[in-house]
Amino acid sequence: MKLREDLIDLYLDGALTAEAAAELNAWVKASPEHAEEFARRTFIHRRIYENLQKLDLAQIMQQPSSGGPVFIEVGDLDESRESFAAIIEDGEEPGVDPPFTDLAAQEGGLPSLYQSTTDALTKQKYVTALSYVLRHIFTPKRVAILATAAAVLLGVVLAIVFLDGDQGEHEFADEPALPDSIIEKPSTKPVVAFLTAERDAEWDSQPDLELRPGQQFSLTQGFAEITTASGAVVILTAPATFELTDNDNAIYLSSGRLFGRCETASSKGFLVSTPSAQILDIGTEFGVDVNEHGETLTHVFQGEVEVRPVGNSTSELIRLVTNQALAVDSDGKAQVVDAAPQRFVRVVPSTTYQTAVLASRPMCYWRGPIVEDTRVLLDNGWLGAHGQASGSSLNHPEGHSDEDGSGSLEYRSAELASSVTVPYREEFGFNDKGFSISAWCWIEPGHQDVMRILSTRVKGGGIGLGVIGRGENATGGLPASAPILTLFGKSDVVATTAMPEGRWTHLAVTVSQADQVRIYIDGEEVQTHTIPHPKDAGQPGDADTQPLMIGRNPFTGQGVQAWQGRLDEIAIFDRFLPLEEIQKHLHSTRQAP
Amino acid sequence: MTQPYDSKRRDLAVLWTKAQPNVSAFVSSLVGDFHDAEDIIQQVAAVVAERFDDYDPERPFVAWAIGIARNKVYNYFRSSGRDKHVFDSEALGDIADAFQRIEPDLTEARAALDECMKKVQGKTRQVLELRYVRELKPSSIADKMGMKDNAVYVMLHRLRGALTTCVKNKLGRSWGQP
Repeated sequence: MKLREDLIDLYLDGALTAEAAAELNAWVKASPEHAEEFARRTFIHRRIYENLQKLDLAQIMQQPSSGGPVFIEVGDLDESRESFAAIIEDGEEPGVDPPFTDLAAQEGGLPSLYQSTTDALTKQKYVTALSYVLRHIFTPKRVAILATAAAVLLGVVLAIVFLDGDQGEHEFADEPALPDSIIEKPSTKPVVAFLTAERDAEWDSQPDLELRPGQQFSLTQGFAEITTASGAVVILTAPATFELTDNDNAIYLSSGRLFGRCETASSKGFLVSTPSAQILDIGTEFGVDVNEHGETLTHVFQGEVEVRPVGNSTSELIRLVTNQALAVDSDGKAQVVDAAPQRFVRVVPSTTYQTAVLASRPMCYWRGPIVEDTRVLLDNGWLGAHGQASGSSLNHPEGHSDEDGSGSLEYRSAELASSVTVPYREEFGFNDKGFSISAWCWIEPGHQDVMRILSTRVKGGGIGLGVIGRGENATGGLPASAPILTLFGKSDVVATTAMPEGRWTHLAVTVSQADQVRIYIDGEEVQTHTIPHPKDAGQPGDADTQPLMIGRNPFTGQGVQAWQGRLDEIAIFDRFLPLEEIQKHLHSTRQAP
Repeated sequence: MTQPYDSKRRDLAVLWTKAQPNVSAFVSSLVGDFHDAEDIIQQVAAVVAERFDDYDPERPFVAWAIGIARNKVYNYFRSSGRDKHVFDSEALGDIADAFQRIEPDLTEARAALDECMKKVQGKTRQVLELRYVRELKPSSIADKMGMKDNAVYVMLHRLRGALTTCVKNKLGRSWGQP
């Protein structure tokens, strides 16, 4: 391949003749390698521009408000002995490039002065473009901050426009001061992470979208999500203080809690450092909690991590696997402790309803939508029991409220095979604290059969939640669409009040430690019933480790009992929830009109 | 209280922030005037934000964004008359494809080039600032610096070559052709 950097450079500097232009056009088309070489060379050109613009902007920002423009003394440049035409005529390849110092001429006189400022229009357009993109992406609050920054910057820029001349000295008149609290000084440090989501977040100092090394942030309230350049996703729960390092696959957590998810190849080996430990992710999901004494607790949700205690040189790497936890004290002493998944929130809530539900620390929380390519339904509860969808698309664009933009699960009557399967987990079994289930339901009007919201088989029995039908399978005398909680082989509890059809309705079922079942429709209690303790049903056998299914009954002997309509925000809590807590969830939502 | 984020807006933020430098490089490779290039990049950003729902996540985002940029550049060529551009539509397509193919390369090279830029000092840097910050033509730079026009072209040519070599060395492997 013959390089034509000479032609490309003449093109970039606007000096191509018509003939040379035709030659360059033909050369680019001659092979893909030529086009790539052109792309590389012009990339260098573009990046020089960006680099110098960035530095120049930084210089302007850092000028004191009372200061004038910066004048840089320019010395004579030695003329090259070689003319550019000669290079072209000789067909000389650049070959070994001279050191950069050779490019600079010898020191000479001081014949001219020039003002080192960016062209004002460029900067104005840059700010406008940035504002435009951000307006489409970010919150009004953030845009307001940016708009203020843009306005102030524009003030500076306009001052430069009026004073900018080809040569000669000028004074700045009434240059506006730049409030440091509003505009972060541009940094030439590389961006290592992005602030990708926040909810009810309060910061001691509001971070920018792009996060660079050496910045420390304190999240004083709410939730925030950071995505590193390597692709690791970190959910921070307030209060938390953290800092980013030069490594774009690492974070330093001074205090507070984070949940980390590393699913991309480039985020493998994601490193969390704390005052007392270094945690290296090998698998996919883990939580780190640093308390006020600098003690670190690490819990692995899924996969593996390696923990290296700090300050104890004799300590070895400790490998943790799924559902194991390790505490390291401030002296570097490590100790295996009970699993502690409930400490961590694994997602930033996007609605007030989700914020309220997550505050109750659900064991499982399937809120959708189904991930398009993998067909996975993520569990945002602490158990992390992700489901696998089968059948045609289950994603409906509308959620249960006008605030919920993430859609819902849709089950069409014509496609009875659609369902979500969640692999068996021991935690689905009964404990001594009772349990609770809640969900938003949209029932297809006029459905005939019993329909399941969810069903599973655990410890000798099983559990099912759904509504009864109006056809042959209907329970005698009870209204269609009345909620039913089934403890297989033990007891059915059916409400005497039906759920409305054709609109979103909130359903909650709680089972207390005293085995009392309560059913609530839109926060109103419609049934109370005491059942035999479900645990008495016996120990699990091989046949009892069945998956949990959302939207159908796993036991085909009783029919599929497929849901018809939509489901959203399905949550299981491994404890009894009092009425006040359920109402708190419910009242936090803004229902669609 | 902030507004809820949905995952699409979050995806767009991350994807655009990562892709924008390469989209800008593509546009600047075809539109010599940096102001005009910034205008086009702004238009591309607007279309990307408006049409993000149409984006197929199985395709590389940068390829999609460069596809949009290609159309914008083509429209710019058409509206600004033939004398303003060098490349025909076939070459335009080849260049867009090339930028998509070498996108990971460019992403890596960016940080390396920033490091290399620190080595550019003295008068070479001053010529560079006149060219890229003041955006002067080489003939104006020559006037200001008391140089011949050709000397400015040679200096810019050599500097780009030196930066390319520096990037190759920093990446510790070949970067494009030797």
